[in-house]
Amino acid sequence: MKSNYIKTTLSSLRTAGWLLLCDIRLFMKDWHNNILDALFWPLVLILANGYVLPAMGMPWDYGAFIAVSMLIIMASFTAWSSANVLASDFESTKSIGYELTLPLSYRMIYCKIILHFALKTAVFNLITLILGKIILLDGFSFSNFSFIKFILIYSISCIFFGTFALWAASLAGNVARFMRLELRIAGPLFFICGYSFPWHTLHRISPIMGKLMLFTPWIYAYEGVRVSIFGQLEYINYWICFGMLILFIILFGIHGLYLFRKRLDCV
Amino acid sequence: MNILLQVKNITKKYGDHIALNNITLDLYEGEIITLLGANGAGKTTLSSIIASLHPATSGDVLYKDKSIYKDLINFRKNLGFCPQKPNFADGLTVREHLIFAGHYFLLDMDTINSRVNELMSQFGLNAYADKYPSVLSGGYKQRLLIARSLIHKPSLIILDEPTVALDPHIRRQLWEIIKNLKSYGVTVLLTTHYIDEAEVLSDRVCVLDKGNIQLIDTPANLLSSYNKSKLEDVFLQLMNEGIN
Repeated sequence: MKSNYIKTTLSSLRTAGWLLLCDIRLFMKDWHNNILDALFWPLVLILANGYVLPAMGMPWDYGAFIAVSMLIIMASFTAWSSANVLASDFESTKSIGYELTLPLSYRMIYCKIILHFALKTAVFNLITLILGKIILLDGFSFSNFSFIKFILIYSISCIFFGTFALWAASLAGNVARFMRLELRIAGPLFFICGYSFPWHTLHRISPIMGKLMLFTPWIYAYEGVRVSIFGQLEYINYWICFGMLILFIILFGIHGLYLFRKRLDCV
Repeated sequence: MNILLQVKNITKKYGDHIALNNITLDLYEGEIITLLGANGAGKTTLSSIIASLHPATSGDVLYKDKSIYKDLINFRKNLGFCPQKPNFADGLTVREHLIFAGHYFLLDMDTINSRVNELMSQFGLNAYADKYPSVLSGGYKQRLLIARSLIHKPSLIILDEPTVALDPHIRRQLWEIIKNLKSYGVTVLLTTHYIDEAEVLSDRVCVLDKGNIQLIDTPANLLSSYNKSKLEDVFLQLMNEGIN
């Protein structure tokens, strides 16, 4: 009985692996467009924040700060736009129905979708860092860069963005509602939760706002990635960021799975 | 004939609406059975429950005497499902669709290659091997859907309105393909609202109306018991009578 369960689980995992490989192949096939998508916003905003705003009194290294913020916000938006395609699929072609008749459980399909979003998000947005260095030169220092810490927090952040985007698509169920969620809630949250300022600055100005911000997951993604690139400095402790992101992945993941099943009415 | 699949007292409710009402139905090995009914009769709901795409509110589906819900993965390994709307991945060619489908069922590469070549020839898809499904005509999209669902040699294939919105001559080409499936020993569950299709293709016809099975029999028996020359007349009489 137990060996049968293990055998079935392994075969389901292999099927999920092939589905993921197919997704990877599809987004890699369109790599040039995906890279272009990841270039323009960071290009414009790093230029403005690296050269224009310092001339207006912002710190000289503000461009580097924004370059790292751009990495996170672009990752959020990439995952979000991938989920937009899924929300459209929920209401029209329902091509996900094919996967739901394959020999694997809907839970594995759910996890596969999160990994697909996370991988697509992670791979193409790394270009933001390279772009930041090219534009800002000495204004973007990697002297405190920790590769291991960066890979860990960046991967976990992308998994969170994938989880959150899938949760939102399952909650919305169609493109119109999904867009409304973006305009009214997700978009503003992506920006307000630490895009343009570190958490300690907000906490210093308004301790209440600072504490409220700790209930949002994005602040941990922004701060954690900053620590891995700039060093610990005054940012939120790296391991707290890491732990909180895992907690949010679990919370949104479990609730998202419930919504996903309800939305698709699957077995 | 041996029973392959049993639908036992399946009810499906959406809120207060009863889409299927206590449906019981047996599917025999190697037959083509058609679910016939008007729009909203419950054909797609029933076929998608049998395909394990959606759960029933109550009741069970047995595959070779075992509840499919107790061993869903193995049931799905024996199932091929063609949905009403083509659901292809953008960016995969016809051949790639079949190759990936083979991988999803964990076939080895040699088997995949031989199955892909076999199915491409069988369904006349060789000329379109490197094309994207989006450029195919409706009939060829359906051929690809059926071919994809057969890659792992399932014992049961469910075709949900495969000829809807197709030109008459394309429909007839697909009929030949569906009839040929029998020669491979596949059990075919076909849903349609085309009565001529049911008459030509089916070993048995199951008439559904408002979530209830009105009757199940062979087309020949239905014609003789209702003393009609066309299945369409039997169907119309049934709908008019609202048989109990």
